[in-house]
Amino acid sequence: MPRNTMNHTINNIRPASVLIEVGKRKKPMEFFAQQLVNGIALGSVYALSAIGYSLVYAVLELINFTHGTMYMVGAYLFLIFVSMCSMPYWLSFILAVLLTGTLGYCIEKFTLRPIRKKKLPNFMMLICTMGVSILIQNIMLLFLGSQTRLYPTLFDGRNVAIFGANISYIQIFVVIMAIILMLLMTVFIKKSKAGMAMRATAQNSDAAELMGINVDRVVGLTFFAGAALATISGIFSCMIFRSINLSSGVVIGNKTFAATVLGGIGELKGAVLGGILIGIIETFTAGYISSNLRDIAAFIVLIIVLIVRPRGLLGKPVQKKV
Amino acid sequence: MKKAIALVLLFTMALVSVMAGGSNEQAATSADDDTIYIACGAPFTGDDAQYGIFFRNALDMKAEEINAAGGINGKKIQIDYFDDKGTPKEASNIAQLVTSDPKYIAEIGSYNSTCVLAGAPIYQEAGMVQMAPTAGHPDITKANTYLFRLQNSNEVEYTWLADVAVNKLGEKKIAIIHLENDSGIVLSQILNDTIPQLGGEVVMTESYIQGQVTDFSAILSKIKQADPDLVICVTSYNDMGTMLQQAKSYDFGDMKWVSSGMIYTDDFLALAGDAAEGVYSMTIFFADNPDERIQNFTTKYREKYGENPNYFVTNAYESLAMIEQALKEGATDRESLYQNLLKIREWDGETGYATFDENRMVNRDMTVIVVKDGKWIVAPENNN
Repeated sequence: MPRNTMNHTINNIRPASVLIEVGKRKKPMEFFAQQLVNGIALGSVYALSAIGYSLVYAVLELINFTHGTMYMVGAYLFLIFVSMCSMPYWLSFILAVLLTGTLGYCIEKFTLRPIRKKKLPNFMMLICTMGVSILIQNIMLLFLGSQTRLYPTLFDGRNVAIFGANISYIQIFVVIMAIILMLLMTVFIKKSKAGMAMRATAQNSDAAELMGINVDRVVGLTFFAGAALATISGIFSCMIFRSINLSSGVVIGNKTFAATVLGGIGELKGAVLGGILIGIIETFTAGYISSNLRDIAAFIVLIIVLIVRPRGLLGKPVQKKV
Repeated sequence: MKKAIALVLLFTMALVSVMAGGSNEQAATSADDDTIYIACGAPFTGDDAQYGIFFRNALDMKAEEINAAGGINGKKIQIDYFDDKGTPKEASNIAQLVTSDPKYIAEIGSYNSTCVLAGAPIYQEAGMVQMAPTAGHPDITKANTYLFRLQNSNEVEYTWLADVAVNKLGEKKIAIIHLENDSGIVLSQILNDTIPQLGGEVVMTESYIQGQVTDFSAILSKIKQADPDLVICVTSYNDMGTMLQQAKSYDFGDMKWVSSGMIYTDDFLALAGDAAEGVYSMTIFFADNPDERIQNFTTKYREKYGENPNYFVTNAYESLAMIEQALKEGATDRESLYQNLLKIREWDGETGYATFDENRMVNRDMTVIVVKDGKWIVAPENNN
């Protein structure tokens, strides 16, 4: 087998002592940079997903189990539009986000709203979201089968080496898009009328209603936004991971939950910070210790933070609504 | 009054349950006359559903053939499928269910060692034949003396894999990636022992838990750092395909990828796409083998299901074929079926030749294959 010349020179100049330490101390800075980049890329898709999750929690105080499912459904819709209907990427993206957003809205309208209207306890809604997500997953299984599929991507595998770290264009693209979306989301929540209505409802839905805010519409909008963000996160992460299957949403659902709680549930900045931290912790554990421990490490950090600071890193002190 | 009603209800319930039990047994004995029931426990939903579906395709095909040819001594074959979702918990539940129902004469499944091991002690206790078409863990035949394996044990397979990497493909610096499960741990031990003996060097061993990782960047970065000439990556085809696609952005140069027979499926080629090019695998069954009987089988399967058969299909198929032969030779119950199966030491099936040793373990030849132009071919290095 002819080896390429580049490899040859590297092999030749490497001192013997380094050879023995292979896998441990070779190019430590490059390795660090590489894992940091991987962590930030992974963290930014977690962050996107966590914002949607946090938003729903802030408004309804609801742990939304359909979030991971929306992630999966949205990502699948994009795949279906691109590979089966041969639509351009931008159109598929917009359609997938809008359709999944609508699905999120419908879930709220037809399954959660009746529970809310009857003033039943919150955990009923939680169980309801579990049921809905199992239902959706099984319907998807019926039509799409359980096999893993190749996911379309941008800049197929092209990358640039910075400080010895291979950064793929898609990673850069996703991180930039995530930052833009997070900024847009913040502006939307802080400045727009709908965003203000959301914040008002989050603070006190009864008072908000008395002030003439249509709470039902606000909650519906929140679910729409939550599902849309889950879809965006789903499409971007599948573009990086290059594959999708029906259980893709389950893992991300757990991580999103961890990220949201770590950052402080109900806080958008917290969701972003939590997402990025979980991403970095995961890749560093996998890189420096073992891939076996990546999930354990993420959740251990979560538990420690919760013990030391129960409201999460950026969370505000809990004021129980009565 | 309430008490009386309760008593009556209780009595009725007891009566009904006794009657139900009785009629169940009756149904079983009457069905016994014209139908032979065989259970198949495999994943039909969840991450591993595709493997269960391969089993079902193969068993349906074989059962149809047997029944079309008049059945076995006049009796029809009926396969009942149980979904174990690829989890050991479900597999042991199924084992309880199947062994406690007297109509089942044998069980085929599950597809992986973890699930097979979960059911093994239960089948052992019931004295029921358990065919393990594709499980590779060395200990499965020890866990149940009524178990027959149709897949080479991991020891045979992985020692061979080390030999392929070091001698046939001629690479010395080797990295290992495996799943953190029963057979993955065995794999890592065997490779780490064998490769240095053959003159190679293991520069990295990394494992991960299946289903937890979709982002392989951390593992790929580790490979990049360890800089091996060849990576032995034994994992499911969907993880392998995903990993290879992600590896495109790491400039690995001419580093070689080798995997086990797990990835020899058409789905792998579809998933990995261009990144599959040059990936080596090994298999006991190669669909494009020019051998006439294998070609007949491949054509038959392709016509029915529109895809190439793989070793999940062929091993499940041969499992039923062996049971068929044992039944034809006069087996009537679980024990006589076992005794007749024990007599089969050489098996010249439609999908290849195999021998069985005294521990009910198969020994089959393997072929090195490689992806070239989007197709599996016999690797030129196979004959090295």
